[in-house]
Amino acid sequence: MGAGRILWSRRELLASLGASAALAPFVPLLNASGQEATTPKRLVLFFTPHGTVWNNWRPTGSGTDFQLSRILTSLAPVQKKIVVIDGMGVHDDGVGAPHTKGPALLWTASSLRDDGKFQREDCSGGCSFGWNSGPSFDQVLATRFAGTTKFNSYEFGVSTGGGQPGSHMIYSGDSKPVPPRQDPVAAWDELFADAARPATETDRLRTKRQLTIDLLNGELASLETRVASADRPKVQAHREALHQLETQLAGSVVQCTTPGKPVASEKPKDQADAMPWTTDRQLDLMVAAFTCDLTRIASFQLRPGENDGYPYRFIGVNDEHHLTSHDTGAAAQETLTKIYTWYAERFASLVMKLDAIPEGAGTMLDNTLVIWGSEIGTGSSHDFKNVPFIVAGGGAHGVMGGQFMKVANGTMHNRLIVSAMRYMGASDVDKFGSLDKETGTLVGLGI
Amino acid sequence: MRRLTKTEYERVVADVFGVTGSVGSGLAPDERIDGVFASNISSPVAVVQLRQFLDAAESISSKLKLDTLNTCDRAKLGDDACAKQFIATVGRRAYRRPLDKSESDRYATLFAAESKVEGYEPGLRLVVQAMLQSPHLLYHLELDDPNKTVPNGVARLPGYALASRLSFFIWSSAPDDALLDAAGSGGLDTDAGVLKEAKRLLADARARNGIQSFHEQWLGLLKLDSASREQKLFPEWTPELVTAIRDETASFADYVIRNQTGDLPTLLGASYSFPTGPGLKLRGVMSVPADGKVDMAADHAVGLLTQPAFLAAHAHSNQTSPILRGRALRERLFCQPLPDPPPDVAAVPPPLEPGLTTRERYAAHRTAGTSCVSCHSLIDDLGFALEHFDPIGRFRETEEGKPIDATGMLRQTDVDGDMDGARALADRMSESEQVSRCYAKQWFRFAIGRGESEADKCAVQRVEEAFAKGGSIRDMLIAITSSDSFVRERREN
Repeated sequence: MGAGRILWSRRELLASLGASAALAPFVPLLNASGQEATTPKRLVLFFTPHGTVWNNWRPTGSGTDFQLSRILTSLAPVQKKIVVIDGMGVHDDGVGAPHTKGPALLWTASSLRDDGKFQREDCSGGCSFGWNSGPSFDQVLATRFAGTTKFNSYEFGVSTGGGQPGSHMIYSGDSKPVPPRQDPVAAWDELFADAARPATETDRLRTKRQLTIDLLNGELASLETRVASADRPKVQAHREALHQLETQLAGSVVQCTTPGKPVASEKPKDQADAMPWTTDRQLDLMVAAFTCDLTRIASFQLRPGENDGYPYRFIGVNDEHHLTSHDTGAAAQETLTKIYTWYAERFASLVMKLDAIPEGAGTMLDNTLVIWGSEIGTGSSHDFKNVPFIVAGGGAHGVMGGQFMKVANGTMHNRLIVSAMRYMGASDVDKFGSLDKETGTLVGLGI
Repeated sequence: MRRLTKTEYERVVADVFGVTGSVGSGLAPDERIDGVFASNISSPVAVVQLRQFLDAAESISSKLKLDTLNTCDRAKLGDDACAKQFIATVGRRAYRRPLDKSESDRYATLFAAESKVEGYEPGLRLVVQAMLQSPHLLYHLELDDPNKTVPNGVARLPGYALASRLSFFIWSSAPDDALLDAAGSGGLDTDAGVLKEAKRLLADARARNGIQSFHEQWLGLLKLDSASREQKLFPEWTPELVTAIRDETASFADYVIRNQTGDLPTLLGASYSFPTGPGLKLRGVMSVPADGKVDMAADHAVGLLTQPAFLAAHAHSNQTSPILRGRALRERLFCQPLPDPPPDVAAVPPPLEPGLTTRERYAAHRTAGTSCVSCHSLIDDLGFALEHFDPIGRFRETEEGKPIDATGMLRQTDVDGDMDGARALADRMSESEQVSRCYAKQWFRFAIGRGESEADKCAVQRVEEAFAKGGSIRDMLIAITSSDSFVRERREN
C-alpha cells in the first residue's frame, strides 16, 4: 500500500470510534438508548464492459456444489456469499447499437428513446437515437427512500467517457442521465470534508454556500417564467437539482472517522494507466460512505459500454478492450480473460472490504446486495440472451449465497431487478422497466 | 437552451475572470450529439453536476486577482459603491448582457451579508462564486429583451444574443466589452453591423481559440486525451509531446485561416507548419524562424493531413492504422458515413510481425471475393496514402526494412483515381467539391451548436456553394455569421 491510500482496517475503525461505540461501529445506527438499531440494507450496482469469456467465467458443477473458474478465482474467499448466474438475458428492444444501448438497458430495463436527439452521420452507436426512456431501478429506490441518508444515492465511475447513452447506465428519469463522479479527490471532499475540518470553518463555509444558493434560487424562479416553454423543463430540473444540493449541503455533519484523502499527485498521468488507482480509491470511498451511513445506494461504473479503447498495460495487455472483444481467436480470448480476471479481482476486493466490516450479527456484506453486470454477454456476438451477472451479499436478509444458478431458458434480468427492489423494501414491486414482459422475483435467490 | 461546453466554460473563466488553467477538468463530459462537436443541448443537469460547478466556482474565486478585476477607488467612492460597480461591469461580461435591477440587487444583498462578516474582498469573491453558478453564465440563454416586443415566429435575435453567438463561434468565449457595447447600442441590429463585428472578432488573436476548438473536434484530436503508445516502441510519446503537437495543429490552422487568405488547398496541402518543443524533433526540424513558421519538404509536410496530432489520434498504441486514418478521412473530410464492422469481425489490428509491413499484415482486407473488400476498398487506400507517417506522426522512408508503399486508389468520390502518398491525396482532395462542402458544413454545425435541420437547408447550401467556388475560409466563416440560421430564430411570446 502506498502512502495516501485510504486505510480502513476494522481495528483502526473501532479504535478511532472509542470504547463506547466498539460494540457496534456505526454511530448513526445507534438509537437514543445506545442500543443497536436495525442494520440498514444497502444496494450496489457494479459495471464492467463487454460481457465476459464464458468458458473461463462459467463455474463447474451446479447448485451449491460448484468450483469457480479461472476468471472468478479471486472470489473464492467469499464463495459462500455469492450467486453466479448463468443464462439470464436482457430485453434489448429499441434503437441504438448494442454497446450504446447496453449500459442503459442494464439497470433501467427500458429502451433508448427514438427521438433523434443524437444524429450520427457516421452511424457510430446508431444513426439516430436518444437518451434512455426510463429511470434505473436504483434511482427509483433512491427517490422512494429519499431523505434516509445525506445522499439518496452515490454514483462512482472510472473514465466512463462522453455524454451519450453508451457512457451512461444510471438515469433519474426519462432522458435524465446521472453522470458518475470520476475524481476520487472531489468525491472525498463532497463526502468527508465537512467532518474533517474544524466545525467553525464548516459553519462559515455553509453560510457562504447558502448565500449563493439563495441568490440562485431567486434567479431560477424568475428565469422559469422568462424562457420559452420548450426550455422550461430544463429550468425546472435545474431548480430541483439545486434544491437537492441545498439539502445535501445543509445536512448534519456526519460523526464518523473520515478516511484519508486520496492524493491526486499519486495518480498515473496516462488515463489508461490510472484505472487501477482510481478504481481502488473509488471503491474505498464507497465502503467509507457506507460506514459513515452517508448513503445506502451506490453504483460503480468502470469504463463506458461503447468502444473501450484503453489498453490494460498494468496487466500486460497492450490491445484495446473493445476491438479485442470482437475477436474469437484463441490469443484474443486469452487477452480478454486477463482483462475480465482483473475486473473480477476489483469486484472481489469490494465484496471482501464489505465483508471485513462487522455489522449487526454478521458483516456489512451480509446487509449489502451487490450486483455485477455488463452491457452485453459477449463482444463477438453482441449477445443479450446471456449476460453475466453475479450477486454478492445480502445474506442477513434472505439471499441464498453460495450458488451457481443456471436459470431456465428465457429468464430475463428484470426478475433480478424486482428481487433487488424488494430486498431494499419496495415490497409492492412486481415488474420493472418498460421492456418487462413477465412478473415476479428471481426464483431461487431467496429474496 | 444549451449549457456551455467545457472549452467554453474555461474560456469564459479566463476572459471574464482572468483565471486560466484546466478549471473545468472536474466537470462531467460534454454531450456529442452528432459524434463530432460538443454541444450540451439535450439532457438537464443532475445534482452532481451542480456540485461540480460549486467546486469549480470555489476554486476559481480563490484564485481571482481582484486588483486587476476591480480597479475602483475604494477610498474615494466607498466599498458599497465599488461593489456595485464590480457587480455591474463583471456581471455584464459574465451574463453577456447588462444585469437588470432585481439581479444586481440580489448580488448587492449577497455582498452585504458576506462583507459584513469577512470584509470587502471576500464579499467580491463570493459574488464571483455565485456568478459562476448562475444559469445566466452556464447556459446560452439568448433571452429576449423584456422591454421590447418580439414578434412571434422567425425573428432576428436580440443584439446581446447575437453578440454571444458571434463570440462563442469565433472565440469559443464570451463577448468582450466592445461587442457588448455594440449590442447595447443597436450595432448588431443590421447585417452590416454583424459583418463589421464578425471581421473584428476574426482579426483578434482570440479567434485562434475558436479555430483550435473546431479543428480539434472535427479531426477527432480529442482522442489524444486518452491515447496511449507502447513506451518501448515510442519513448518519445509524453504528455508534453501531445500538448506540443496539438498546439502545432492549432497554430497551423490559425495561420492559414487568419494570417493568409487561406483556402482549402492551403489548409490541406501547405508544406509548412508550426512545430514547438518536443514536436521539433518529431518533425526533424533543427531551427525555427522567429515567427515559428517552418518550411519543410513537400512530402514531409502536407497541410492538415500530416499534422502529427491527426496521424497519432488515428493510430494504435503499437502501429499505424490505415483503417482508422482512412475512416477519419472518409467520414470527417468527405462527409461520407461508413457502417460499423459486423460484430463477428475481428477488428483488432493484426499483430506486429518482424519483416512484415502494415500493408502486408492487412492483406486479408484485399482478398477478392470476401465481404471485407466492399467496405475496405473505400477505407484502406486513403489510410495507406499516409503510411509515410508512423503511429506518432513521424516521417519514415521504410518500415521493417522495406520502402513504404503509399500507393492506392481513391474510389467513390468526385476526385477518383490513382495516388501515391499524402501529397497526391491532398492534391486530389483540394480539387474535390465534396471535401469543400463537407468542410463548410462542419463549420456550420459548429457555429449553430446543433445538427442542421430542414429549416437550415437553404442556409447551409448557400454557405457550401459560395465556398465550393474556391473562396477563402475566412469569407466562408463570415458568410455563416450572416446566414439566416445564425442571425434568426423562431421565437415565441
